[in-house]
Amino acid sequence: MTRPSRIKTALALFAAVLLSACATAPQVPVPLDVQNVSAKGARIGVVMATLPAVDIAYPGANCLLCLAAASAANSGLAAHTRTLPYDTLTELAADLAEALRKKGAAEVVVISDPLKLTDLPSASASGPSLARQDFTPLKAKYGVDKLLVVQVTQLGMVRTYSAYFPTSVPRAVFQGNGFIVDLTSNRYDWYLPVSRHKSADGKWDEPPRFPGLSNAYFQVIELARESYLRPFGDTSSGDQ
Amino acid sequence: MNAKQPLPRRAVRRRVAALLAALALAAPVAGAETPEATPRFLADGDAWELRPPRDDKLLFQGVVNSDDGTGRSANGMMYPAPNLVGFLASVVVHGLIESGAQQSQRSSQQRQADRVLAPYQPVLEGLSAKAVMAEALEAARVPGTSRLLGSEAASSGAATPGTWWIESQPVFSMTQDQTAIVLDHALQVHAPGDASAEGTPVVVRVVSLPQPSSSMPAHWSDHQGENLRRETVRLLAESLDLALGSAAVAAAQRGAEPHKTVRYTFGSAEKMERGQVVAESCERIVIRTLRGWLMSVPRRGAVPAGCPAPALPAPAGVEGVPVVPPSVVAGS
Repeated sequence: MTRPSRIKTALALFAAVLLSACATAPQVPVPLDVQNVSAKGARIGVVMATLPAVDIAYPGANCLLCLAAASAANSGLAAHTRTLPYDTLTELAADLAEALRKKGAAEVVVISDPLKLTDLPSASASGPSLARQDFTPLKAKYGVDKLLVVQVTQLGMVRTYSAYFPTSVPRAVFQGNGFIVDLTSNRYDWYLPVSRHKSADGKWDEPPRFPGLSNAYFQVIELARESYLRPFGDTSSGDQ
Repeated sequence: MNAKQPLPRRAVRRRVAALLAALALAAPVAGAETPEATPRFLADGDAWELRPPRDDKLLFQGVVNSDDGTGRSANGMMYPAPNLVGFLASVVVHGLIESGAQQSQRSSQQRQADRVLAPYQPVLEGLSAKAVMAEALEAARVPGTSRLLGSEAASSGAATPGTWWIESQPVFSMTQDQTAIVLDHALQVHAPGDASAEGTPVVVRVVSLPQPSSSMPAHWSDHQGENLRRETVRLLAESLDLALGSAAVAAAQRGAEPHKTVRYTFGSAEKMERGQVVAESCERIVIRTLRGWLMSVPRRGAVPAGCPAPALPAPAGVEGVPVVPPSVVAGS
């Protein structure tokens, strides 16, 4: 093989590796099988993954200068967003545990300490319904057979950009997943991606407290709670 | 759209702009969850005048789903940069294009939403704004002696000495499923001797109960639109009670309620609002929103203990009355 060919081959391999790294398929939803959660003798733990900071994101502001411009233009909203509470999200684990009991789960334990998913090791086996991280060590740690995890990946506001300019008004956003992992097989018994967005009703630009967007924020939390609880047959909001 | 003839686009813009200005002025929110109480103005023995919109027309529009098409997708942009001037020029042009695209999208959404009113145009053209407001004044439970000014007196801007005067800008919106009407009522309240143009702005929202009918066009249009007229009167009367009457007094006295996310019926759908529940009745809930406005909405979910099963809407022929009785409001 000549020297230029070797360089071309190396470049092609590098490109292939780079592209394959970006092509990790997202986890497909796994419907809930009630038999799995109501199996006799199965102990189920319910835990919240560590919640992300409530913040604002600017997808589309792709260059550093664009991001700086977006941050400067939305500084008031960003500062307010960071003051918003998690509200009823903190009660979601207890609500899910109650819903599981109603579904016939024999023993349900709410784990109060948040689970830091990034601390888990990678799983050795891979497959369509297998978790990418190894949850099996948690079986001994928590003393449960299955673990229901509520993971929130993004919470706060989002405003899309095209370089320096906004292409949308800000909206409240909730992104996350809910899943039950069998701690023996590391297989998902249930996997649900949750994505909720909500715009302000009417005007959004109301500094310093942004009541329209704050209202939308609390609504996405309620809508997300509903999404997590619905598979277990519970759609109550807890408020009204 | 209006009661007599189609409003010119400029007039619609002016009315909506006036409403938005009132909404902006009426949002003195001190904290995300600590809005100021709606101020209290009227007492028994006061005389007050209600000034209808100066063009004496009721504005109707369709409810826009604010979650539809709320922007264009995020994308990157490669600016041509032959030199600094060329780069800056391309950035400015891009900004103008984005701004224009979003404005155009908003207008298009409202035009699309307004199509829901097409079947009711003949009824809306026959609605008399002054007659509707006069009926609403009779039905409302606001203290003092009220008087509805004619359009000539309203446009003159002169206040009767010693009298409260209240400017009214109601905007009615029909849900896209046509089962409910929403009133956003912006009022500017001027105490006797108050010569300021703004007065004290008050904004209230009232969402009607859903109308269970197999044919909404027939429901709203039959008998010369009697149901539509009565619902309009009912909403206006309740909004006056919320803004100026006993409901507002009760709400102002209940400032320490916890904030929560309240679900309510919005036509055949469900909506939510964050706020403080300041009054409840069997059918309705009054919320003080994060903007500090009062909002009366149909209750959703289980009927409270002691309340009868949800009643059907009042048939045509029953006078419109405030849906939140003051006794319930005061006692809750």
